[in-house]
Amino acid sequence: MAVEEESASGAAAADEARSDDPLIDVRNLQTAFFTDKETIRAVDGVDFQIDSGQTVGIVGESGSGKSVTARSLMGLIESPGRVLRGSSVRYRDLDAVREFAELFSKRTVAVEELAARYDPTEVFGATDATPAEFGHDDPADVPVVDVAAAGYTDEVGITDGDECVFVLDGDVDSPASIRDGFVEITRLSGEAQRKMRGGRIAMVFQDPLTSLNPVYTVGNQIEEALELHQGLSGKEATQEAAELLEAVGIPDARRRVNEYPHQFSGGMRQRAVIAMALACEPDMLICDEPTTALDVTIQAQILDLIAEIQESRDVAVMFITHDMGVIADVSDRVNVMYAGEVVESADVGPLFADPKHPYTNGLLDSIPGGQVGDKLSTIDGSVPTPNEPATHCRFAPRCPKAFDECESVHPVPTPVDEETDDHTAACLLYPDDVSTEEAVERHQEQDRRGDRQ
Amino acid sequence: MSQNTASTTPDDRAETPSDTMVKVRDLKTYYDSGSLLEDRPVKAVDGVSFDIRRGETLGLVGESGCGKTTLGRTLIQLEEATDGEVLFDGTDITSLRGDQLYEWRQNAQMVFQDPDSSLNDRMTIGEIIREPLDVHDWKTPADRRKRVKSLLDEVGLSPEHYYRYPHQFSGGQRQRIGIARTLALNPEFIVLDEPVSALDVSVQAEIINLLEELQDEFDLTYLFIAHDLSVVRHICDRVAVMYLGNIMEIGPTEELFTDPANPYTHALLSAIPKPDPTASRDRITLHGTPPNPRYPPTGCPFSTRCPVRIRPDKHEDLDDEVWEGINGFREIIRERMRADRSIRERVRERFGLETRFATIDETYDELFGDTAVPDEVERVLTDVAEAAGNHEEQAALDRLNAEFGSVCDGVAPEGGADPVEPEYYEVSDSGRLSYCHRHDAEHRETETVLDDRS
Repeated sequence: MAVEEESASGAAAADEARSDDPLIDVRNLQTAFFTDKETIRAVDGVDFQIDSGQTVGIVGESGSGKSVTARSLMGLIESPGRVLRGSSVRYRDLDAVREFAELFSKRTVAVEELAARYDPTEVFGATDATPAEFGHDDPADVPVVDVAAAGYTDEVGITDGDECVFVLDGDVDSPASIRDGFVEITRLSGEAQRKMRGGRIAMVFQDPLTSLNPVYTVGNQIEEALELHQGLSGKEATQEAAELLEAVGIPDARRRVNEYPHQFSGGMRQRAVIAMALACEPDMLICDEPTTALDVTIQAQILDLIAEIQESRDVAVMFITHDMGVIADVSDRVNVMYAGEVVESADVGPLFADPKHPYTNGLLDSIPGGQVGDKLSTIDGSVPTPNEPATHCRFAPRCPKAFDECESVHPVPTPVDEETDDHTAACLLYPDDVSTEEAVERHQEQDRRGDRQ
Repeated sequence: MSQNTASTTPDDRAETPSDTMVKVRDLKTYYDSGSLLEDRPVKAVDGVSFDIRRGETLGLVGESGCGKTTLGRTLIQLEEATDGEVLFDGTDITSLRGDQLYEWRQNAQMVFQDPDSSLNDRMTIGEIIREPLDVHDWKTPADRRKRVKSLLDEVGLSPEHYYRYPHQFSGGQRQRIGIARTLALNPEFIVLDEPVSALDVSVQAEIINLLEELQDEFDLTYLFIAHDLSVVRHICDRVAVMYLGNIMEIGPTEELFTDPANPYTHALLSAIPKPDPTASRDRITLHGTPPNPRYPPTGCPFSTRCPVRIRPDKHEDLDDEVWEGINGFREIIRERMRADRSIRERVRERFGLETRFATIDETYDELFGDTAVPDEVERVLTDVAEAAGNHEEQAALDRLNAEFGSVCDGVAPEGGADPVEPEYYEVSDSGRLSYCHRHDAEHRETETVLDDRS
């Protein structure tokens, strides 16, 4: 397993250089589906980070946009949907940046060079970009890299839409010298997309049968992934495939590699899919409801397995589920989504001990178990379909705590009080240590989402 | 915990109280494969006995494939019972035929899991709910329409929904429509088959509240089939835990949840993720999957996965890791015995070429490679591995069972020839029953053993 050691030492070097930075940095992610009838803004301005080795949970009801978020990260949004301009998902693993800079030198840019050609008044004049969406008042204050990553520089010809590797520090022509930079996931396409998807970020879906081909043996499918991403073939690949199956807890793996998906039970299939995902030694694993179709005893096995993999391989995990119990079990940090937006974000402990957003409270209260025999509390109404950019709180119509301003001011993620900085809620009630009027004012000021197509 | 060795089956218990509505006795539902060569039936429900009292909600929980849906369907004669009785107020409905059955069906209805597939998309809501009334020729058409409108109101929809189609409704509303249809003929008994599993948690809460309200209002008796144990704990008065066609434990809900007696109940409860990150994670993770109901293990149905399977005396002190390895090894051989072999493999086998079955040695190393196996045990295991390598799986299993089997695997303690099965033991004053040898005074209780191991 020479490859693993090599990348491990590479990752260690990267850690030294910038341990504070997240592996994945999602900024203002917007994904919309355009049909003749309506536009559905499935993901509408989502920000979150995932550190390497961390598990970040995304929880919400159906229609909240959690799966579309995952698919946007994987580049799996198909027409009529697309990730909108202004979105940025930065992949910051230094190893990956160097690898991509080397493989795709034509698609790599040094941000310094961009800056030389960049004129803020031109860009902000010619496009629908607003300094507010980058958190500034003056166009001149907005760093060029943010504008370019969000895709606005394409329109004025500073970039041509093909660049996906941004180098902040180091020489573009000698990738080994790169010390800072990122791969912009929303701008990937073609070969670079394939390198990222599967090679760096792997995904496990809810229904293992949709990710397995019924006419090939399980071993065959893992070998395919090994060949694509690691260049293994023949006996070597078979050997490695069996080892992977063994690593995900499939007994009698050597016999199992030659079996077909239908000969596996549901839990075994999900293990096989996880083995396939691991075949390319990803830095990040996106799990989209991986245990929803499984029984609790099998779910327990799969959750144990994911935790074990994370520990032994130090991968970052983005875990999507609607089950609050599962989220509490697996996550380090939790993002609660509602109608395309992250409404609350906190470490798992504070989120469950002291949920702040009324929606999070509602979700937790409606789980049976707290109040035996009593009536269960419910959230009236249903999740709305976000068709327009948000101009107010989307939860307001169902919110027990809503007041007049909730219908006119759009809340932005805000620290829940002045002392805390890692627990945010998108609700006009927060921060809760200032008066409501002041809180509302702050939300109004910070609302940076422009009207954009 | 009281330890009266009760009866073999729950039916011999003290006189059935007069408020019993459904009395199930030794009910079996088998599915035949219909093939001429294969005559082993799938034993979906394999001899269960229990009572459902009037006005109560009995929960039926278990993993998929344990037979809970088949049991529910058999109770209202959607499946034909292979053997046993289902007595509704004294009438054995498994013997009803023709008109009698048709008449009786008004009393018992079912709500299905998936509201997308259980409603006909080409019918209006009114037609859907009216269908049972039409089928049973209930009063006049005008009365039927009136009835449907009042039912819509009853389940929290409005009368103007009468002329709409199912696709215009959300999942929760569709489930309400299904419930309204169920209520149309004023049944006494309703089988709810995973009625909230397909719904989001906030919608789920609404439907649960509705079901509870309706139960109070119409004096309904529910059989609530679910795999989500937190929902069951909320809504059910008593719970039956099923595994591989058998009821493993049955008793009052709170008692069963707070103080489970059967090892399977223990494992099932510990596997539920709690919405509380500070909760201790002393999860008992079961290995493997439930066995194929066509080939259930001899002895206790749970013996192949049981974390507290009784060990024979001479191996009582065997290292846990070795013991687990032996269990795993047994499962692998059992599986190999049942695995399909393609013609290609049979031919390769015939000519002594390598097949996917020929690699038992590696599997053996995988299981026992890093553990110190006592010589005596290793000798047996080597024999077993050799037999398995030669495709004599049955011989290998027999050898394993002779050395490591116990009452749990059906080995009679006095060396009798017939496999023994566990009995139902009464484990509390409320009459809770558990199907496990561990309750026998001879053996230590499940909880003590689990505590010891952790």
